[in-house]
Amino acid sequence: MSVFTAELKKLWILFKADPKSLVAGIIAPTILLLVFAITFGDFTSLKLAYVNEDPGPYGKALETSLFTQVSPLGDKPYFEEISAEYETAMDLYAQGKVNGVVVVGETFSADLQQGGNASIDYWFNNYNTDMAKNLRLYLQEGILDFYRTTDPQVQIQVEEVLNVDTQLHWFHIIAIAVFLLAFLLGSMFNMLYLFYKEKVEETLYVYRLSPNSIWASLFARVVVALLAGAITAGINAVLCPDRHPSRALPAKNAPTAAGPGRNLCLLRGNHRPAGQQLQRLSCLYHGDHGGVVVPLGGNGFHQILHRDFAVHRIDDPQHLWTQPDPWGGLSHGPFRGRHFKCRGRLSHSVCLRLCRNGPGVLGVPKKAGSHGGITCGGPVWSEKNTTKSG
Amino acid sequence: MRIASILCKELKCVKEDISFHLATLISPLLFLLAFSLMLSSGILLPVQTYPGAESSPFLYAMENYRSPDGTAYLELHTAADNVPPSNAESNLIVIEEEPSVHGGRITGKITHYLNDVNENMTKNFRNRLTGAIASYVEDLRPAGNVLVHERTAYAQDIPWDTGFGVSVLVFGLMLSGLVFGMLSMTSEWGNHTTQLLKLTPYSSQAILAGKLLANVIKCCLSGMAFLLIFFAISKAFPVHPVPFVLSLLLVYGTFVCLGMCLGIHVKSSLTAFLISLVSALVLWVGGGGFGPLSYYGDAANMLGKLNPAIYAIDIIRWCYFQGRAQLAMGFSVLSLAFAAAVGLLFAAYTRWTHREEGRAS
Repeated sequence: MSVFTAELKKLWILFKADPKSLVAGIIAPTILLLVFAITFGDFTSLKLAYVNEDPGPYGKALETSLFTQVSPLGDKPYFEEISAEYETAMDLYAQGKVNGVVVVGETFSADLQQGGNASIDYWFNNYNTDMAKNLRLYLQEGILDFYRTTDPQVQIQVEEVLNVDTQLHWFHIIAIAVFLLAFLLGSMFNMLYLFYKEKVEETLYVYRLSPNSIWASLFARVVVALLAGAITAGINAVLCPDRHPSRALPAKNAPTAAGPGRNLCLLRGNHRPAGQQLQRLSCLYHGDHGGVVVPLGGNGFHQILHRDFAVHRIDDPQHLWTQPDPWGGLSHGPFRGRHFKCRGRLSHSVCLRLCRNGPGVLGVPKKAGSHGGITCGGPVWSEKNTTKSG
Repeated sequence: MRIASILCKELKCVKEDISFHLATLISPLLFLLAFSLMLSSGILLPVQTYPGAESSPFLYAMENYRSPDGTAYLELHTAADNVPPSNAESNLIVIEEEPSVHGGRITGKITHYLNDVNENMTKNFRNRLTGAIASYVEDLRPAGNVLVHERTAYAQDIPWDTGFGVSVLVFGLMLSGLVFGMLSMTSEWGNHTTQLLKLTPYSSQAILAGKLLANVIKCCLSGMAFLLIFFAISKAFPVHPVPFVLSLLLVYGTFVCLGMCLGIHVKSSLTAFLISLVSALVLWVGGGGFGPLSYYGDAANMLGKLNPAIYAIDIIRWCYFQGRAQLAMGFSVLSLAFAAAVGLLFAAYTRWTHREEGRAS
């Protein structure tokens, strides 16, 4: 025991005198985390220059469709629009400041109006297969929306049903592994570094001369290494508090099928492209579906919606476009009046209560930071509170 | 002759710090292997469908929905039932109503069961399904379609792991340059031979030239080992060897000089190694090691212009894949960086030796 205590004291002195051993456990995982967060973790809208040389209506309609499609990952639009003239756009592309350029020619609308096909030029940087795939498929999201908005005959309906208790951001899944890595690296490097220090100080030979067993000494090193691992993991956890698995709310019950009285319509107006898309989707609230859950909110919405409700995404142009004034119906309809404000954690239970009482509306202010909500009737939940709950 | 002696001595010193020397090869290799194994599965995603592709024209078309290089986006497996079990391992696409043309209307109903907890996979599956629907709609109707003429930067999409390997090579160049440069100075501290360096009658230029040459040779050996392994994995080889070698030498030279400057001031090999590792990583990520800087904000783009890594990555990618590159600008910046690093090294070394002489007297 005395050897253990003495070794512990010595290692503590060494550790305090030169805490560099913590560096590897902190820096390496943190850099990994940053790399993942910046490059893969958070969904970033790709910058797309849009050159519209078309004097007709379809070039504008395609522009709207391309830049209003929202990714389920991060609730951001797939593309961030950079409106530019042709030369400027190509210059930005050459400098690598945009990921791609869409050029809509002068005859785009005319070709469609004459009953033919129209073409666009799509310049993009296919520097790897993953990015090329994304740039192609994100464009297709916009093009399919364009077909639906411009041709009422296209009526393919897609319904998404969430069949798992919850969904996690990819970054959070990775972050848990990086958290463990921080612990391992912190422990391992501490062990190595303290031995290295003894080698540099030329005190390793003392162990060879010692009449005592080395096991107590080794055990002390393990304890110090575990402590160092705990410190590095703790620091790493502080850097990214969202990684804790408990932040993802598990569902209390299995998701249920959509039906009247069980669902929630989400309206969101503060984000321009998302708002435009949801403005269309809001028509569904007055459609024949008896309430629809639209999983286009941020993580906070997702987590709440996943608790008790089936999550559906319905791309049905018949319902999207048959309402000429979606906001008018909501402003003056039978659901006008009640206004709920939820605060912090309470918001979950309040939200669930609202939903149990019947179809509800989650409203978000058109201007971020305002607290009024959309005057649309039904239970309104302001953005400020939903953000807190997420 | 003196330079040759210094060169021999530096090469013999490799055995003093074998672990650090190996780290310059192992670090980028680990990066390459880790990311390649993790992310090189390509763009093909397995998905269950009900019914099978043979029973549904839409699913058959979806199975054949491919990227321009012929890689399919989805690998279809027929599910036993149209409702997924709660512990289903993959997403399920159920054709409730076959997409088809009825009296001019294109109708259909598809249910997509999401069985993955990963939001990113939800995005990926949704994108593929949407793309397949858009493509199918275009097949079903003769007019009203948007034809996309692709003008890509590279003739073919660069496979993710190959592109990443080329990018990691630049990380390896910077790391080995910094580490070898640093070790050539810290070994002098470790062997207590700094006095000899200060008292030698030979010029600083000769000593530094010898060390620089030796370190660049070590860097080249380390780089060759990486390239051989990378070639064995990806079968990729630079198609422009002369600019490739030139850019390698410029990057090695620059970072060896910076590493030697570091070694003058940081006496501990381990500390200097950590600083080198972190510096190389930061420069590499900040220089677009994981992709173009258009991902990042304006500040990162501004800083990127000062970062030699961005020019090195640009040139070396061009050497492998051609495509677009700002070669003149890249080589100019790398040459300037090399000249500046050499100047910095001579200034730092001379200042160090003179300062110590003054103190001794």
